[in-house]
Amino acid sequence: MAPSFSSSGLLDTLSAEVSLLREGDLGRLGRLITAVDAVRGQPEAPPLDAVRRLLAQLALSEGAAFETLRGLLAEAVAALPPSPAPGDASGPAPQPEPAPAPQPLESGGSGGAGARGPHAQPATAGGAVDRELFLEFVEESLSHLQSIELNILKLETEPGNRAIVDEIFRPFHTIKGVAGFLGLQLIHVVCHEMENLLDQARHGKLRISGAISDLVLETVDFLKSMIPMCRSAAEPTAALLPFKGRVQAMVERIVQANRQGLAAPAGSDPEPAAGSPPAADRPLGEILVGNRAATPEQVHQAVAAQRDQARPLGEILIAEQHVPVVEVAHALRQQQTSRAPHPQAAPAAAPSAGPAALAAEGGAAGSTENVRVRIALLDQLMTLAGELVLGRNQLLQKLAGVVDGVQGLNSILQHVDRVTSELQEAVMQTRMQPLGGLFSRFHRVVRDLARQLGKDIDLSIGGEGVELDKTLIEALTDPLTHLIRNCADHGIENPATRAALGKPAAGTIFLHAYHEGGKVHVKVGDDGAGVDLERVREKAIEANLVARDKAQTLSERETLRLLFTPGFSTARQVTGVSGRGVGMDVVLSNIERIGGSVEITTRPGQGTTFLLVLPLTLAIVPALVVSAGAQRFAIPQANLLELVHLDGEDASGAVLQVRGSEVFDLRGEMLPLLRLSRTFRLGEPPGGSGDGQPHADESLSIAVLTSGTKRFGLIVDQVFDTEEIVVKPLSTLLKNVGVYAGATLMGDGRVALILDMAGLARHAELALDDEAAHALAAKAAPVDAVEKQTLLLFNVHPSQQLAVPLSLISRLDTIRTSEIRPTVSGKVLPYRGQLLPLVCPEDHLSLVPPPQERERAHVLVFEIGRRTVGLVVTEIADAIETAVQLDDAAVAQKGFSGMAMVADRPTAFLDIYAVIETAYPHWFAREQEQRSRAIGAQPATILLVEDSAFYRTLEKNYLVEAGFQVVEAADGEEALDVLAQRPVNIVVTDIEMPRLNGFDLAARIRENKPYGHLPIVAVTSLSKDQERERGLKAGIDAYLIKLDREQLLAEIRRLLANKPAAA
Amino acid sequence: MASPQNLAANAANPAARDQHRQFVTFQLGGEFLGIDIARAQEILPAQAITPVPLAASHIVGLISLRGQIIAVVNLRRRLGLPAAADEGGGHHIVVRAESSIASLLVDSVSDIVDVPAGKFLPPPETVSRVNARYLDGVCQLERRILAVLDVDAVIDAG
Repeated sequence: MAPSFSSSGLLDTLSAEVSLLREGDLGRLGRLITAVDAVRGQPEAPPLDAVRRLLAQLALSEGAAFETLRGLLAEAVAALPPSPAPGDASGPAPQPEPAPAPQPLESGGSGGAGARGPHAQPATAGGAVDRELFLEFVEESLSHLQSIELNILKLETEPGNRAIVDEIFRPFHTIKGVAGFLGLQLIHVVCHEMENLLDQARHGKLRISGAISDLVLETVDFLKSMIPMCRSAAEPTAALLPFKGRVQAMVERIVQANRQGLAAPAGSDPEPAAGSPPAADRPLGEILVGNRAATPEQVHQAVAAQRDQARPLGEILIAEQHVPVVEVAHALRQQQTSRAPHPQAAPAAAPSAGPAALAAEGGAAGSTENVRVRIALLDQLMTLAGELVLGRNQLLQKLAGVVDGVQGLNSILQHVDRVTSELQEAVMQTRMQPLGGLFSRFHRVVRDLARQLGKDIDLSIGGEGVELDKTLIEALTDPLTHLIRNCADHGIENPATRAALGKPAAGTIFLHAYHEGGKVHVKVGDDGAGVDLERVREKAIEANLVARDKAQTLSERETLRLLFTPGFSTARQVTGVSGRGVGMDVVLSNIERIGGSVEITTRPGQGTTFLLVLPLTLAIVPALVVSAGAQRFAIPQANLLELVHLDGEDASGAVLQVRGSEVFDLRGEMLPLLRLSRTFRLGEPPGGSGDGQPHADESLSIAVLTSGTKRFGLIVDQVFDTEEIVVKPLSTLLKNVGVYAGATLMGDGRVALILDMAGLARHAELALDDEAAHALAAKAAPVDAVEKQTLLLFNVHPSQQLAVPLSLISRLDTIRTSEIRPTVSGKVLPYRGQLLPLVCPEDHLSLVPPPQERERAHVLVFEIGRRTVGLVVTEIADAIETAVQLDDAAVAQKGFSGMAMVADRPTAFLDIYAVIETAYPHWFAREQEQRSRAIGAQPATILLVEDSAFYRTLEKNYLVEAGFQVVEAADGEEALDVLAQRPVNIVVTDIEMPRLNGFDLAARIRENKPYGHLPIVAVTSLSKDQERERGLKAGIDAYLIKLDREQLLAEIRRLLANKPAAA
Repeated sequence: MASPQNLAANAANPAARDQHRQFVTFQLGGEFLGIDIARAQEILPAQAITPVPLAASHIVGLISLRGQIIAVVNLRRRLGLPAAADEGGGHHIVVRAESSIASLLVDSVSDIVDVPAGKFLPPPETVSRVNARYLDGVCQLERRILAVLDVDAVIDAG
């Protein structure tokens, strides 16, 4: 409708209407604006811009602001010049209300006419205001509609709560008012009818049944689809015209629902809304078509699909996105009205997308309008945004020379830059999800646990709204479950115990999330017994995780850290819940894998708390960029403890050799070292010595890293900057390599690999564990009374377990059998730029041959004299520390040193020297000569002093094999006894021994006249300069690494040649 | 040559797809090989490849394809053909397998051929030096035999 106004008539109307304006009376405001606009368009119209603007502002204001504006408006109206053109005095014809219902809710706001004031300057305004208003209207309405949805869901749980009905009513009223004000008739009508319907409910004349809730939600959806049309269109009213038919249908349905609801107000449910015939026993499809929720074609298609899929019709329609969930639920309810007296509960009958899905959808709608998007698509967006950054960088480089010459180019580039970053951020944002979803799962977990354990446990949850990257939330599920189990099982006491302690019978497990320092903190804990530190220490000693004397010196924090060691469990009873010694280490490694950390705090009798500190996202992580060979790698900052850079002399002194492996003395802590370029076979860096020994002029960069409870140093060739890198998934083709966490793109567009510290540590694990254990053992002398060896268990065929002492092996590697090349002199492997001679034990010993199709194999690398040789085996089973009773008579065959039970299996011990000698007899040709010469002469007698029967047997074998006579002694005292009784030619002694150690033995020998001149060779597993010096001072002639047979034999021969034999 | 419309039409119509198949063909170590065009995403010139230490020997390394990082397969090594003088050179055919995208290194891309479905036969054991387990089938063309690779076998098994 387009009423015509005259300016004189308008003036009268305005002065009258202004005094009648009430807050929230948007209909009246709308009519006034329409009237003002009509006059403004006419020639010789008075300056109405200020009035128009004030009217617009009034529509969106409330309270004191409203009153102030109304005062201003009154002044502005009074200031208008009297109209020169009388006539056409029809007042502002009010738009007829589209329905007969009285306009409800005239809220507060006192009257009071505005006084006529002086002339006001007309302000310039116009279309821009309109446009702004429409935009504001759209945003506000959408948020109103959201609140309606939430309240409808609330009402489902509290039916009949009038306060909630009010909350539903009010937004419709507001939207209606503004829509009318803006001339959006179609929206106005719908809201008006809904307002009427709800008004009945507010006054108790109508019950909001399930069907009516659905209708309200449907109306909300409808308005949601309609209202945003006003946003972009130049002519909003016209933009809504296509909705006209549907608006009429909607209005009709609401009116009908109102009527039917009024006809049956008392408790019983109204007939289904759509004016369709009674729905009971009608097919669902028919109801949906009748409700105009689906077209007959869609139903036919779904029925056809149903034959193939055997799924409920409604489910198919929802899945095909033909019909919203709410419609199906609604139709099902209609179908069931005759059967269920309270169809509100009826959606239970809906297919898999039942009440849960309905609620979920309603809940999800709580944020804004949602669209379901595939994660893959988001990842792609992320990737593309990253590409954009690269493209921009290249653009900047290329244009660097001309940027100053072209005006405005710089600001364009900056703009592109900013947009790109914002895009990246926005895409990141899409991956974030509130933790609430995950947290709420634990109610069930805790309830089940409590029942299982016969305890009373409450779960307190906080910070559900804290958001985390979706992938992080997924990765958190298992660790949190485990921690909660732990709290329930170990933490919370039995109700009786709690009662006795004066605690509430019900224990509490809490799960709280919050932001701190740019990270997300998740606290999981209980109010239970706390951790018994003493018991933890005892357990750790029992499990051989720590030496007894060391355990007592551990701080509380260090002790708690032991809980995360693999194989640790303090549960007094093994229950189905926890206590099997697996888990806590997995918790730690899982959390660290996502760049997080775990801290435990505990107070006796008050409980234990686990604090998980997590990054917000995994998609972008800070990382240190390093190089090895010519390649760059990224080390996640979360794993990096510190960087150590050593120059020249410092470098050569700081790296120690322990059993062929490198160890770094970091402020007293023995840190196992890995050389990245060697681990990755990338060739030694320029300046490196190539033999792995630190050179005097070599500088070292060591990244001190942590993974789980392990710490190790990674020697890299070069250290670059710390960068925020975008983590990209690794191709599935590379998943089994196991040492990479992903890949990233560097600034120059090249791909760089991200190192996975847990994987890298695992890759080098055997060496690491051995070194760490050894470093610890070296510190924690004297050695345990029970003699133990660290053995490497492996096999050529899984049916035969084989072993060698781990200390003999200098390296372990995995190879592809296809890399092995046959040559005339034997098999070789291209290895670190050289050819490594190989021994396949099954070629020389009677062993079951390896299984067919062995694609990968392991190589045990031994350093024999000046040679390096690799033993090819199929599987490495384990490295274990164990006491061994070696039966050296059990296997007569050359190449075996004996049999023993290890890890409950009969295990053959390889005599590695004999095996190698069989494979490469020419290496030993000279030695053979020497041996026969030795045998020809009177064989020399060696006193072998070694407390370990195991090593003693091994060493004795070598020596006897080499043609010597051997007398044994188990320690220094025993050695002195032997010396007193019989002559020997040379003493070979261990250093660390009970009763009398090697140093003291040497000193005692040197003091003693009859045999003071005897050559003494010390063999030890630890080579450290100060030890060596001490040995030399004590009178030891040669100081050798244990079990280097070649060196030992050479040294013995040299000393025997130099010194005359004993009398 | 296949236009996208044709491809779409073929994909939508099983009968049409049965009638003709298109293959991207290329030379590799003297072999004449092909890949179903539906599995080939794009063809790239030589790229800067980042090697992946400790990876399987037929994995040359990684490249970035518009920000997506994909693995490059040395097809010669994968198929057991003699190595080329220049390992990293040649063209990349980016292919889609069941679980991933990967790039196959080939010497040069020849053409796209259109083969009537009836000419597409299961791979005999001896037709090519390539192990039959990597082949999807063979086609007798005018002058020579085209061995068509099973992309999934080439990519996923490794």
